[in-house]
Amino acid sequence: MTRYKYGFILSSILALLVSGCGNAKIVIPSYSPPKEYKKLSEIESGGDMREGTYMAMAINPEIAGEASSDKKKIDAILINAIKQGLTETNFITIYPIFDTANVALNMQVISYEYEKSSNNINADMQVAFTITKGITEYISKTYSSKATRYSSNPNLLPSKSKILLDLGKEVSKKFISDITPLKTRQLREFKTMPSELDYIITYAKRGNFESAVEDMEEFSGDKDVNYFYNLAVLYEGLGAKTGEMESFNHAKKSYAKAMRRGGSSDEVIVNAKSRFDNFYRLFQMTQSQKNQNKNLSDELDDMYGQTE
Amino acid sequence: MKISKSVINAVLVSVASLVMSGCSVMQSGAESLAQVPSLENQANRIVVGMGLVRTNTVIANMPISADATWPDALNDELVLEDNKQMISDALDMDPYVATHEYTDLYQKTQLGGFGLVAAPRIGALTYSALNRAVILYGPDKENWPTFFDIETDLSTFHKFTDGNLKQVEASSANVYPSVTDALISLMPTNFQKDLQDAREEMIIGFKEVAALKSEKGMYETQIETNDDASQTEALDEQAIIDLKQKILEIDTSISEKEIVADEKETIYTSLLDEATKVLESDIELDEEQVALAKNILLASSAIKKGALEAGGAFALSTTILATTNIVQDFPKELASLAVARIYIPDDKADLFDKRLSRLGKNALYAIPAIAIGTYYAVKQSLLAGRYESIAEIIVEADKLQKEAERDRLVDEENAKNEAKEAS
Repeated sequence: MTRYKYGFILSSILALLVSGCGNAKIVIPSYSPPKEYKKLSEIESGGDMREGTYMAMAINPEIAGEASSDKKKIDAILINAIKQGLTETNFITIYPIFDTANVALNMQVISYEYEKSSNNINADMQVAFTITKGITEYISKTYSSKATRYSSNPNLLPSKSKILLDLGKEVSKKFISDITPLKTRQLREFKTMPSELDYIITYAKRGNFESAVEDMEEFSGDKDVNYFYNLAVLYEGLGAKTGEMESFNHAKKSYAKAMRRGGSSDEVIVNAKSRFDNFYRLFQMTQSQKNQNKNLSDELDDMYGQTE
Repeated sequence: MKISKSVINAVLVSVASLVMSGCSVMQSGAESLAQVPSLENQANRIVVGMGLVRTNTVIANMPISADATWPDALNDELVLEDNKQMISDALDMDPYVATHEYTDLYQKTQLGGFGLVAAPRIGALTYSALNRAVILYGPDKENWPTFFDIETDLSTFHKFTDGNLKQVEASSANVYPSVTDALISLMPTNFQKDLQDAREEMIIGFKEVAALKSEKGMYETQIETNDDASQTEALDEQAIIDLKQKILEIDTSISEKEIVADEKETIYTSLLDEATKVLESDIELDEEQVALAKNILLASSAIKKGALEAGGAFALSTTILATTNIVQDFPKELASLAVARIYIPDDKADLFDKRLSRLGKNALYAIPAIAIGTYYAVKQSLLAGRYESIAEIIVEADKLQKEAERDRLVDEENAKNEAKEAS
């Protein structure tokens, strides 16, 4: 081993020991990107009902495979979990009538096993999800989920329904995260504030981004890289709270100002801006898709009454 | 006795950890002053250090769930205090623990040491290592692995080959086969398969380096102890030259394998870094995931603590071996034990014989164990630190989220009360 390596190891150990002495942080809502967005864009429909390109699909209520006594329960769990996942962001609208749908989601339970002994439960499920447009398959993916439980007290073991629910939710979530943005969270670290603005961090931690932004904007002292970075984080928090694009636009401008004032050489700022940029794009995309899908929902409401 | 530069160098990291790792190692340092300055005591310390490295391997491969209680128990000082009596009882029939109080005084008159201060029956590091056995294997010592014999199979120095692990209680959350599997399950889905593959490659790389280091240590021990060997077992000059040549060849192989292992480690850690960056933008605060992250954090902290304690033990033994004539005086030590036999009560004579037999084996394998143990301890500590920082992302986000939510509710309540008072 080289001396350099010792230095690295020692500094790593020291870094581990002193970690946790960072600046104040807050959690802000975010989206995770759908992994199959490119393929999804191929199933967009548009123009045949109203202007705009919407994304909608019907869920086939008949789930293929697995003829066990639990079939009905499994089918219901999968369909509900998919509906719940899709309606979380409405990035893809659920088309209510399967027979007339242009795009459809078909599910097949490839395998399902459930074993229970006095102290153990072992179960697994494998489900294939296929999105078709007309007769063409666009996305076909298979996911599996396992459940292993043990307790020396058999009474503490969960019921079969709970296990089925966990398995069904997990495979559905894996599929949903591939086709639609999911709501998640990010950590944002504040940079040192001028002492007269220290209280802003308390505002932010308590979710009072409105007052925090207002007071920051009124600040007449030195507006350096840290000021603009912190302002960007606050606007980001405000946007995440209100869902208003205007706040995100302010955040974008403030990040740009921070970068111009030397933020490009600061890892915390560069990382935060990079995450924000990804989120900003996803948020724009999601909002735009939701608005376009709304056209379809309005049309369907007119035709069939209120939809989900 | 000369200890190779590489071994001394390799334990420098452990010296740093000795200073930083807290009371068990510090206590062990103080205890060494009261012990007989013997190869047996250094070998025992090294064996306990290996026990910590091996229990670290057990922890890393222990099934874990969001509701498992063992990670918390490993970090709970009160659990250690509670378990001390059980450990003490379990060691009643241990050959060294049961007999050293009868031989210490005489050995000190022959080998030196502070005659007036008695060494503790069981050392602090031994309690720390065996506390892990109680938690991971259960209170019945029949289920514990063999702690005090150094494994002679070079490829399994870092892990136990026996013992029956306790079944992990996990009634309300999923059980993952190991801490690493659980950690990977918290990572973004599209990274999980690549992380598993890269991790397996890295482990193979570590094993290859460790096996070579161990083999080198064996040849070094053969040369170092040659002066003490009986006439019939002594190596001739040519045999020593051959062994030295082999050591040189192994050194070259070690360098080559280390480069390969380092590359594999870099691939795995780079992937972990990449996945961590994505995780930082994509934190899920599902209750089960948060609880699992907390348990991974606790398990990783326990691994890091064990690695630091083991490093401290190796550093202490290396320092003592390098600065005294303990190895050269080994024949004198054996002679002192032979004489001290008269102080052993009849009902413990068998245990004394077992102690001598164990000493013969452990003394031979102690030096290779330092090298291999330090190698694994450093690797374990660095990786556990990385796992800690990953789990901390989720745990910290959850904590901040809950604090913000609590503050928001307090503010809302205050605002309501103020509005009521105003009206």
